[in-house]
Amino acid sequence: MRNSAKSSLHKEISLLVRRFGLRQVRTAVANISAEDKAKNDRPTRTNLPKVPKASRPTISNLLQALHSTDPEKHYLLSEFFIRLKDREVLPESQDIRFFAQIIGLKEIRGKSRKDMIPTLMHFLFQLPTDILRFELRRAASISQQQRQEGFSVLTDKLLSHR
Amino acid sequence: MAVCVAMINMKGGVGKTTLATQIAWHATRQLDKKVLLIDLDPQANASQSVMSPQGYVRYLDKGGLTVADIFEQFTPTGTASGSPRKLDLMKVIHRRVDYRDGSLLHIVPSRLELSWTLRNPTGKETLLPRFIAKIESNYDLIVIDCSPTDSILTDAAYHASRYILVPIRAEFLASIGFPLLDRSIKAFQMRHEDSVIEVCGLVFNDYMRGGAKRENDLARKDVEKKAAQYGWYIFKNDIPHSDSYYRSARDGMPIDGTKGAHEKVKNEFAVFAAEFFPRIGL
Repeated sequence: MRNSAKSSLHKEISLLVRRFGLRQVRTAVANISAEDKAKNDRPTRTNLPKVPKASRPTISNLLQALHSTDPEKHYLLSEFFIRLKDREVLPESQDIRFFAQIIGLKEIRGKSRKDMIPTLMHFLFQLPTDILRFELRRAASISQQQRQEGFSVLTDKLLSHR
Repeated sequence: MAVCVAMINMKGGVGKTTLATQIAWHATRQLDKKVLLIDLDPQANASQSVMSPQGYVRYLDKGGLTVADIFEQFTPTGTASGSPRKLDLMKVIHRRVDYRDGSLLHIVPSRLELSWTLRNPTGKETLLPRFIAKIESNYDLIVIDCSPTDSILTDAAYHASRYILVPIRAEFLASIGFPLLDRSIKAFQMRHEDSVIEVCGLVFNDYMRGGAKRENDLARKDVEKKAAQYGWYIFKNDIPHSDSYYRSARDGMPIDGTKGAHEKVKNEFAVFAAEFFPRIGL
């Protein structure tokens, strides 16, 4: 390691020690070393035997299967899926994130709507029909515009109480 | 039994509500806990931040009960006979979200009318702890967001809480509320010798980024000196300023689910949380 690099490393570590204390920095370094060791001990991707990936059923397949077993749920979800794809409901990715945090879907990964829709739909498939009916009605009232107007609506409400 | 922690600082605008709501979200989403947030501020900002402003208005329009109903449950107003009615405790709790893994975030919302309680406070400070005693077995953590005044509402929070978290901003007059807070806690402890309440720490909230800022540093030193005087712990990890917290409040979302919130901001909160939760035994 060059001298300038050594000195820069020393400075960085000094800053960390000043901010977190020597003990915490030592613990963190020990943890990182342990993690690295565990990583190196793990078999690499190329060594692993190839296991066929369990494919998740597509939304269309799931809807098709519902058609005969639960016609009402099929109707609710089919209609919702079409509206979702056409951006008639939950038009922005943040709308989907917000809806997820209402219905109890903790993790919804992905940045775009396209990435999020399958996870959302798979979650909705698992809901009982009566709850699904209720939640889908709530989805209709979610939009960026509504969120932006939120404080204005709130102010009107508070003023009307006077 | 749930751990109960109250956000208290007699100085306003220090970020009590932001901290209360984000701690509640973090415990639910990252630690998989069952959390109840109690909004004890008549301004109801925690309610608006967690339910979203529109969700909160809808809740009130539907006649949803609030923390004010806990304090006024035996006040014979609004009934033709003048007789007090028994309060259905579960109706005061709004289920913000229930996740499949059992973790959840519920809230007891507030409303402006809570300020009426301050006009006729006699004997009401024990109503909140009595309410909590009945429902706490359903939760792991109860977070109370307090208003920046020493009132019957603060007393109610002391009665109910095991820990106090004090958010502070590194600015001029930052430590001005400390003597009042110290006196308020001591006075409460003298009146209630059996109560166990502890300041679990002070956290620099909304801290300015960009290294040395003269005013920040001066205020920080002042706070550190005063905290040492009172024997209060200062969290090593600050919560730096980010506009994403405003957006998070407007959207009624956790910081880790807020659009545009930088990874750095989410991590900074997570680092503080990793220091905070062990201090309250979670």
